[in-house]
Amino acid sequence: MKKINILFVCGAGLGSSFAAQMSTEDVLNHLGVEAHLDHVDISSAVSMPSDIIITAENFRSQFEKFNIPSETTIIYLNNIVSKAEIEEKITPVLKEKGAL
Amino acid sequence: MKSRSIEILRRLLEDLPVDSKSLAQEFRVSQRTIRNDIQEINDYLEQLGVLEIQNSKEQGYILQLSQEQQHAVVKNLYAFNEYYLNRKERIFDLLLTLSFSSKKIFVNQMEEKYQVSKSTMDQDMRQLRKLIEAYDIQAVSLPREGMKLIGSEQSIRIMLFDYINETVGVIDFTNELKMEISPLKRLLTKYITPFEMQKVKDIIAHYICEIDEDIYQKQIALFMLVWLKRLRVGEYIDTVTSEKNHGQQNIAHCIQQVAETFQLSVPESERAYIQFIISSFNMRELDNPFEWTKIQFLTMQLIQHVEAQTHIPFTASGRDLFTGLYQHMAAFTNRVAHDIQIKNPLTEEIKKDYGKIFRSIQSFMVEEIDSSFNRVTDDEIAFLTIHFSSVAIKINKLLQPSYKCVVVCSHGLATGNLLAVNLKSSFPQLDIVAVLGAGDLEIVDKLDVDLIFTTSPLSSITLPTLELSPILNKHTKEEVKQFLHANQGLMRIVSTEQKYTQFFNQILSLIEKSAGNVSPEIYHELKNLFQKNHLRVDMKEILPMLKDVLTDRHIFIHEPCEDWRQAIELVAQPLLKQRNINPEYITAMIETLEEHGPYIVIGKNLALAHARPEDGVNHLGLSVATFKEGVTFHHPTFDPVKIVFCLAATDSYSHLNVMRELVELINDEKKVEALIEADDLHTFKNILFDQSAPMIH
Repeated sequence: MKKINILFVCGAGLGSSFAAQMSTEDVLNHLGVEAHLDHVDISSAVSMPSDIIITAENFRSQFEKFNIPSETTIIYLNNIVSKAEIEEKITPVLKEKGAL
Repeated sequence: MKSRSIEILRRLLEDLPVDSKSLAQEFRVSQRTIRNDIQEINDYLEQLGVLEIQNSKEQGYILQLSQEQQHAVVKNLYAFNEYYLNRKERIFDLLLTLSFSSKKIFVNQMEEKYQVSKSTMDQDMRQLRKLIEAYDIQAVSLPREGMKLIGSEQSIRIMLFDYINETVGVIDFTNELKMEISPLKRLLTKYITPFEMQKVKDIIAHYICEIDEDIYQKQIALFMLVWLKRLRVGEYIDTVTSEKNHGQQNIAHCIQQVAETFQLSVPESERAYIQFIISSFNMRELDNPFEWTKIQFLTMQLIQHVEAQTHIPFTASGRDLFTGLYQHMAAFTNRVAHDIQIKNPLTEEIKKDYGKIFRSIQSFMVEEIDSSFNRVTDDEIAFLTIHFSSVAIKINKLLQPSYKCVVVCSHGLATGNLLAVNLKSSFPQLDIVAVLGAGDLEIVDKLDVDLIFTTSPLSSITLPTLELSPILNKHTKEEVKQFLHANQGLMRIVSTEQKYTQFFNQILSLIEKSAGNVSPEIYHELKNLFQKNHLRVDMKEILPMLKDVLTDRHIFIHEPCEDWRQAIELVAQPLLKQRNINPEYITAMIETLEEHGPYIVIGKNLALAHARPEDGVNHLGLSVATFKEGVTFHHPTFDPVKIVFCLAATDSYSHLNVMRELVELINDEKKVEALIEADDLHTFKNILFDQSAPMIH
C-alpha cells in the first residue's frame, strides 16, 4: 500500500506546523499508520501535492481561497497539538483514503 | 645461590622486565619454583643489607637500588659466583678468545676453563661452527697450533662486528656499570678493556663530529675496536681494497690518532680499509656521478614502491623524504655492498608500529634485481622505515589504520551479518570486506584480507583466525581485543585522501537526494556518514535540547506589557542582542501574525512567536517571557497568552528536539500553569527543565 502524504501548514512552516506534526506522529503510531509527514508554510502548501493537509482553524479562510485539488482533504484544528482532536478528525479521513 | 637465581638477579640488576610466568617458561620450571628462587635472592640481598625485590602486578618483579647498592651487589655477586657461564656465554667467550687472543687455544683447555664435559664442549663447538659458517669462516683444530678461525680477514671482522652487536646489543661505552652487570658485556671487557672503548669513542667523537647520531658513533667505535684488536694479534686483510680514498680528512685524522694512542703501526691497505668502512657508516654526499644517479634512481623506486603498497602519498610529500632518504641510501648501499650492517636497537618496535611500511620496504629489497639486497637485515630496513614513518605521520595525522578482515559463519548469513555489524560497532578499526558462509571458504584466498573471524573451526586457513560465538559479550570482546593486539602488524594504513574524495561524493549525493529540503532522514544519513568517516559531530549543537539553547539571559519573568506586538518585541530582545536574529526578523513575526492571524498561539495561554529562517535568522535560538496579566492575541480559545516563546530556526529540522519539548509542555497544562505562577528565574527553570525543586524542611 502506498504511504499517504500528510502536510502540516502554518504561517511560517516551522513552529505550529511542526508541533502539529509531532502530535500527529504520536497519533499515527498509536493507530499503526505509516505516513509521510512534512511541514511547510502556507505559501508553499499549494505547490506540494498531498493526501491530507492539516492546519489551524485560523487558516480556513485562506485555504478556501486556494485551488486545492479535490482529492486532498483539509483538516482544520482548533488546538493544533491536541492528540484527542487530531485522532478524532483524522481517523475518518484515513479510513476514507484506505490507509486504515 | 643457584645458577638460575643468579641469572634472575642479573636481569633484575639490568632493569629488564622480569615476571614469574615468562621466567617459568624460559627455565622450564613451575612458577612456584621461580617464587622460591626470588625468595633465595631476597635472602641473599638481605645479607648484603639492601632492599628486597618488589612484586608489582603490572610490571612483575622489580629491584630498585641506588648506583652504589647496585655496584655492591654486582661485586659481591661475581665473587660469590665461581664463573659459571651458560652456553651462549661460553660460545661468546670462545669466539672472542679465538679472535682477540694471541695464545694458542686447545679444546681440552677450554673444557677445563669452563668446567664442562667434553660432550658439552663438542656441542658448543658445533653451534659456533654453524654460526660462523654463514660468513664462510671455519673453525679448525690443528695438532700443534690449536684452534683457529680460517676465512678471509674481512669476513672475520664483519662476523665479529655482527656477532657482538647481536649478542650484547648496541654497546653504551659510557656506562661502565652496565658493562659489569651483564655477564656478556663483562666477558667482552676481558678482551676489549673499558679504557680502550672509552679512548676510541672519544677519538671518534672528536674527529668525526658530523656524525651526530649516537648510534653511528657507537657502531663506528665497535668496528674500530674489532679492527684494532685484530691488528694487535697480527691479522691483516689479505687483499688491498680497491676502493678509492674519498679524501675525508677527518676520518684519516681519526685513524691516525687511534694508531698513535695505541702505538700501532697501520699498513696503508689497512688504513684505506678502515677509512672506507667508517665512511660507509657515515651519511654523506656522493662525489661519484655514476653512483649518484644510481642511488637517486634507487631512492625514487623505493619511495614509489612503498607508496604503491601502503597507499600513503609519499611522492606528494615534497623533498623532505627524498633528501633524507637519499643520504641514508647512499651510505646504506655502500654498507650493503660490503656486508656491513648497522644494529638498530629499535627494530622490534618499528616492526610492530610501522609493520606495513616495514614489510613494503622488505618486499622491495627482495624484488630488487641486485641480489646483494636479499641479505639486508631487519635492522637496516627498520632504519629506512623510520624515514618513511616520520613523513607518513606528517602527511596526515588522521591516517586511519584498519584491519582488512572477513567474517565466516556456519549458522547462515544472517547470523554472520549480525556478527559483522556487532564487530564493526565495537571495533571501528575493522574493515569487514565480506561475510561468508562456511561453504564459501575458498573465496578467502581471492579477497585482499588479513584476518578472519569465524563462528566454527576452520581448517586449511593460513591467515590469523579467531573463533568466536556469533553473539558478542564482554568476554568475547576482550578476546577480539587481544586478537587484534596480537596481530597489530597487519594493520593497514589507509590513505585518507581517497576516503575524503569518497566522502565528498557521498555528501553530494545526499544533497541531491534531499533536493534542498532538510528532513529527519537527511539528518540521520548525514550524521551516519560523518560517523563513518570518524568525524564526531556534537549532536547537542546539531539538534540541541531546550536547555542547551535557553539560558538565563533568554528568560524574562512577569514582564509588564501592553499588547501582543510589544510582547513579541520584548521576548525577541535577547535573541537580537546575541545576534541570533536581525531586527527584520521581529518585523517579519509581527507581519506574519497580522496576515495569517494568531496561529502562533499553540495552546492555552501559550504562544510560539517565529518567522522564517530567511527573515533574518543567524543561528538557532529560543527565548521566553511570562506575563502575569496575560496578553490578548485575539485567539478564539487560548487567550489570554501568558507565556510567549520566541523561536529563531535556521532550517526545518535543527530545532526538532526543542519543538518536541515544547509540544510536551503544551500538552501538560499543569506545568504551564506552574510556569505562569513562577515568579523568579530559578523556580521557572526548575519547573521547565523538570528539575525537582529544592526540598524545604
